[in-house]
Amino acid sequence: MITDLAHDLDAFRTAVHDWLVANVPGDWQQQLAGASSDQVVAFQRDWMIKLGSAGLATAHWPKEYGGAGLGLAHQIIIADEAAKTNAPPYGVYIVALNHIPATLIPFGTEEQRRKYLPGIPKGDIWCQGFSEPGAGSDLASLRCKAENKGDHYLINGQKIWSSFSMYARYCILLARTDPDAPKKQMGISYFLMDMQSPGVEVRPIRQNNGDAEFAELFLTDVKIPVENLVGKENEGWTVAQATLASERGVLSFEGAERHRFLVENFFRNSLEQGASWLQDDQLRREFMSLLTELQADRRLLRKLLREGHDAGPSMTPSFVKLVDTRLRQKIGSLLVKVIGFDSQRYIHSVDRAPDNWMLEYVSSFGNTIAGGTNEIMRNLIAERGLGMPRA
Amino acid sequence: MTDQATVDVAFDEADLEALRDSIVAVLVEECDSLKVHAFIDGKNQLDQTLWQQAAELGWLAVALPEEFGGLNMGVRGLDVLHTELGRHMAPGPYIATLSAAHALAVAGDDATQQAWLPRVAAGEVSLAVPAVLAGPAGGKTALLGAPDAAAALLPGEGGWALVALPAGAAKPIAMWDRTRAVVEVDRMQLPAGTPLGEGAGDALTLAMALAVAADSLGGAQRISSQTIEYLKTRQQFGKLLASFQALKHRAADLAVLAVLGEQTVANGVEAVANGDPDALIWAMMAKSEVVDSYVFTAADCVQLHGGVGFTWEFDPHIHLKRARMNEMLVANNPAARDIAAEQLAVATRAGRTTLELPSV
Repeated sequence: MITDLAHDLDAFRTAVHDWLVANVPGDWQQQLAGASSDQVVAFQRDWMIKLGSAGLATAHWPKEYGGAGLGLAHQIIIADEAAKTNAPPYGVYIVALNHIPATLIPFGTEEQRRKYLPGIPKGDIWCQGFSEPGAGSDLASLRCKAENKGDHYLINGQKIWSSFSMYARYCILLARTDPDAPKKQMGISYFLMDMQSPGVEVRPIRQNNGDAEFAELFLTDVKIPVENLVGKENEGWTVAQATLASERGVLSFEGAERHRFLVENFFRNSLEQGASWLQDDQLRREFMSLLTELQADRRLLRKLLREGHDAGPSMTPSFVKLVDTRLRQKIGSLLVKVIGFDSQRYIHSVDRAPDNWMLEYVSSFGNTIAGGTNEIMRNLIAERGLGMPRA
Repeated sequence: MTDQATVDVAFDEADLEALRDSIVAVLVEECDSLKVHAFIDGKNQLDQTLWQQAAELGWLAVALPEEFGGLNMGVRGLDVLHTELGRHMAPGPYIATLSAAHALAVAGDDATQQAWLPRVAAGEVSLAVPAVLAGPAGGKTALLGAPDAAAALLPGEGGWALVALPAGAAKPIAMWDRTRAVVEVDRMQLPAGTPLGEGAGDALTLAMALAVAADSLGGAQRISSQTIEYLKTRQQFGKLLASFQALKHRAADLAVLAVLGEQTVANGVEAVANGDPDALIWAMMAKSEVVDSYVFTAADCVQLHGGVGFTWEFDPHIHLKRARMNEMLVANNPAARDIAAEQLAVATRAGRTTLELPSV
């Protein structure tokens, strides 16, 4: 196993690299161009299981739950090499691989960990039921109701922006157990919900890029057994913070590293083809500015990873969110302009196709909105980082 | 995985932070806002008193090899010094003298180094350099440097030379930025000077671009944090200005610029310190990006201060003028980006990547 080389970071990196070179299907982007959502999900499942069989999908998990007990340094190496070798991303599994262990290991019961974690490297997809139509940035005002009925909770309400929930086996769900709590954060509980339970209805939402990656959940008299409560009743808000904290870090790092290669290749191809935009002062200079910002962004992500979880009240995650997501948008916007008319040709693509910069641009708005809008990040930086008073 | 062979690792981050602390401790006392305002109004000679202290404390030798009494901290040490000088709006010919000295240390022959570097280290002489490095080589030339600069680094037909400046040869020019001295020389009236080695121009360009970038970073950080503190004290409509969300978001954006600037300067400094053959890209990009941020930040801070932001007594205009001055030094920002783009094309055609960063 590659993970047996963990004690030697250089040897581990080489082994990961070699495995990826040998196993990444060279034509995966062509395979997926024009594929349906079902085909993409099936492809990602296969790729995840393949990674899992090499021990690479869950290497950062503790050994007793199917991981290799490796640290952040190894997880970073895997992400770095995946970007270098242009390995297929597996976005369907983001919640399962990151949010679920980040939640269940500190807050779950031993039974929950043993029941749910081992299924993930075998292909279980998880989704997140946090946001509601009336609770976006103000998540704590959520209204989905959970009534304690003794051996189960009865759930009624609506969730939204739940990525890949149409394919999910399970859902992490926030619901209100005490509508009379003195503070809105205090009456919320955290549940593990079986998506096959009666009363769960999933309605896909089509995004601005044409894909239907996320969906609305309509929950009508859904029964969740009491043993599926995570943490204590009414203390779900604290648990949710651990879930949300896992959203940035290695994932954004890998995204930025992939971006580096895309942008670098774009420039090299332009140069080889003698592209006319290189003679346009404004476009060329703007490209140089964004390339420099990409370097700064990648350095900032490295700083974030070095700070790790010991950073305390560090503002780096909020800075990274603002910088990284806006930069993606700016690069997409510039390259659409640079490519010109051809950028407007529609290409159906569920996942990133090579040099599909209009898709990249249109999709990039998801990042500036999801995971705490950039406006919320500015509030956090101003109030917690700069000490500006709340109104 | 940096290439250790090209890096002189006789010092580490902790040494640099200790250097920073010692510089800040002095500047906070000796170069506060009131003293800088008094200097601008001709009421003290802060440029000279600070220069003497800088010499005594070894700041002028921070980058120089030990044989010349230096700390041998190279551009990493200069980065710390220029950032803090910029933060405190320090008057004096630091950018010109220390960038020129760096070029001499890289490309001067033994005799030239022996003749000049110990005197720079001791603060006995200051040096001048062309304000715009790619400017015309003949006729009247604007130099960044003090009226009593002992010599200037100048480009000529056979490459760069160190030219001694006879008394009175450098005519002071009044500038909007009163914290930095600029003089004009007539190249036809000057002696030929001592020719320098081939790398002199490149070394000067890299050092000066990084110096201007670091100066801008320190200045931008200072004026934005000072402005945010002001917003926390000023009340209108019965509320602190700092509690208005419109202003919070602007403050957050200034903080983002400062965070990006820190990484951008560090990216340039590392490229030069590591001997990256394409360091010119990242030095020029650090210069242009961070200076643009300084200009934006200083201008926004004038506006965020309201009426007092428009007055002589408050600091924003000093930063605004330093920022616009920085914009023109070395090469103006569009030209700096063009130089970087050209080098990026050269590197890419040669099959080199310029984007590699150390792993976490």
